[in-house]
Amino acid sequence: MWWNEMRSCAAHLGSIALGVTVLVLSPTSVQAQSQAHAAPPAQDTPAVQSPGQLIAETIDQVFKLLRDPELKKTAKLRLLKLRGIVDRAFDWEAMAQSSLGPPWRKLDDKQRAEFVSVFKELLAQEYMDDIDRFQGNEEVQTKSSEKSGEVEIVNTVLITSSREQVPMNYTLQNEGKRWAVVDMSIEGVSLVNHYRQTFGRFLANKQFPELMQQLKRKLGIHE
Amino acid sequence: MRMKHDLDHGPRCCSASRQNARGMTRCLVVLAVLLSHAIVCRAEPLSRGGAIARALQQNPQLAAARAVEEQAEARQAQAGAARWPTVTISAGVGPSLKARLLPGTAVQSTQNAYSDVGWNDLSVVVGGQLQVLQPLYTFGKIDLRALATEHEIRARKAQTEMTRADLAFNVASLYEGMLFAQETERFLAEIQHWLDRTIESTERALEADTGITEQDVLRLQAALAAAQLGCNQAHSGRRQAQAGLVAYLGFPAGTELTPSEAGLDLLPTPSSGSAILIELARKQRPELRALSEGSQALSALAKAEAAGNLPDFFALVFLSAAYTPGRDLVETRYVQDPLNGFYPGLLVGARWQVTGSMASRRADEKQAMARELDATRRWANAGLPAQVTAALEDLERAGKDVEQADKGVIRSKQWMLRASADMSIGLGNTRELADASRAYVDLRIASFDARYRHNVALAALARATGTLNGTPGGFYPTQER
Repeated sequence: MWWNEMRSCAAHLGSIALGVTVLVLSPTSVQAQSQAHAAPPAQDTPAVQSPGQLIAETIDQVFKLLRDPELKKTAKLRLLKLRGIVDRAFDWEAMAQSSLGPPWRKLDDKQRAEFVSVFKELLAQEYMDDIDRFQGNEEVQTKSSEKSGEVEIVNTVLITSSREQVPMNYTLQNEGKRWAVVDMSIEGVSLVNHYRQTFGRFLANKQFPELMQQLKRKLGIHE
Repeated sequence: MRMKHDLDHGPRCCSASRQNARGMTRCLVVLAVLLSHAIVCRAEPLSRGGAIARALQQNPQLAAARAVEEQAEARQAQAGAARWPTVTISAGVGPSLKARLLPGTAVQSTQNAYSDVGWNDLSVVVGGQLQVLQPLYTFGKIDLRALATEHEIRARKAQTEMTRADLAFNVASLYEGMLFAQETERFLAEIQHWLDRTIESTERALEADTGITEQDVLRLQAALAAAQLGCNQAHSGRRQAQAGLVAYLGFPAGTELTPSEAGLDLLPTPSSGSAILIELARKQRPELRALSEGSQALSALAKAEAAGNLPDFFALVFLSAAYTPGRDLVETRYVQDPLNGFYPGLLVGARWQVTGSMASRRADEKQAMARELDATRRWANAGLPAQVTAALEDLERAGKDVEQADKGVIRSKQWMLRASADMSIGLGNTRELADASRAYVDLRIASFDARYRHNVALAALARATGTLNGTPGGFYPTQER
């Protein structure tokens, strides 16, 4: 019967896995990066919103954009607009700084500035590519919001078009005039904590300049 | 196309009419497409319980089973009617001869019996006969046959329940299959979309020289083709399951079915242990009833056949009457005139048909058939625990598989996320990410498969315990909510 055959389709899907592999590999182009810089700055954000409101509004804007039939045809413009929306909610610099962890203290100001500049771009581009893969018919439900020390965590669940539920929790920090996302955890994996572990392992055997070289290469910057 | 071509190359002066014609053609084509779509693809909303309820209401297999019940009921009525008197009435009209009683004897008569008959001697006879035959004692032939038909009716009703259970199980399997295919198709379509977008971003990365190679793009394109193959297979499976359901549910061919369930959710499992379920099966299974009643019917029939060696006692009342105008009555009790007279009669008699050993052998045959059903019932009874256990084990295993696959999906996503995060900053391992992604896709499909198996196993358990019969409160929904 056909459903027995369907079981065997898992075998065909082996090669799909290779595709999904590259889902997250995909670096964005330098052009998109330069356009991203032209996106509206964070200070344009209107009055202080609660963390929950900020996340809900950002998600709404992102999905509205992803559902726009015109923008579905033009990847570069779509990515540019997405970056504009997401930049208003995320503090990439704070995320970059937290991601390095203890080695941060050993760096001089120039190295710190260079690391933040490069890594925040990588983070933003990676997040852009992830968002851009949504079809627009997904749904995000905001479940709860809880305070944890100085930060507030907004718990959301992403329901994909194939009805899969993915918990996505955003950690936000009050930066005076606004709240901003400083970490996010997907399926319980905190991005900042994960990068901290990865950098820790890398720097256990290698030097900081080697790390910077790797990161820049990923951005398409060749020295 | 031809029309378009002609219109496009027509004279300029007719451009307005050409546009009108073109517009009309377009309208007609759109209308035809819409109409054909409306006719061929009528959408019918459906649920698990609703599908089974509809099948049990109108499927021709059940109509056939009910017709077999009606045959048995008619046989019962025939057997019952044998207790009542058999009445035979015959009447007719025909030519006859007038006859006058003359003095003297036949020897003294001067008339020739044959040649002296003229047209004036002809008359008309009107006559009739009535026979009433009432069986008095048949050594159980009638009662035993009536008893056999009573058992047969109960056996046929149980067989109808078996047909209902089989029908419900087939519909349940197809319905779950349709949901399984739909979930898989939706998932693979999502993967296709992700691959499409990833190919876009990878091509951009290739242009920007960030370490991405042509091989990566080719690998993605190959993966997309594989996803499309999987999607085609799931799509075809969904269409096949749908076509099967459309036939089972009596919808017109080509009807689109729209499940009301959001997806392949797990149905609740019964909390009763296997011992209780086996006991329930022994009480409820129509197969056991059908075999038991069938065996009793054949035993009764065997006794009735054996009674064929003995006579039947009966009472017979008969009347014979005839009247011919112009014909004298014979006024003696020793001579009867069949064309003019009235003769009543009453007798008690016996009819004994001696057929050698034929009746005994027929009885032996029926007895052997009864023993065959008895043995089958014992075997079915012995097999019930195994069948219930098999369904329970399938259910339990599928439930565990769902749990493990769902856990695995989460783990594989976490693995994929970590691997992809590393890859995105150039510190990752391609092979690890490939492995994580493969595990994710495999486990997600395995989760759908386990859900499908779980729900089908639940339907199998309901059938094994005799509760998949359209009554409320069964393990598997068989009624519209």
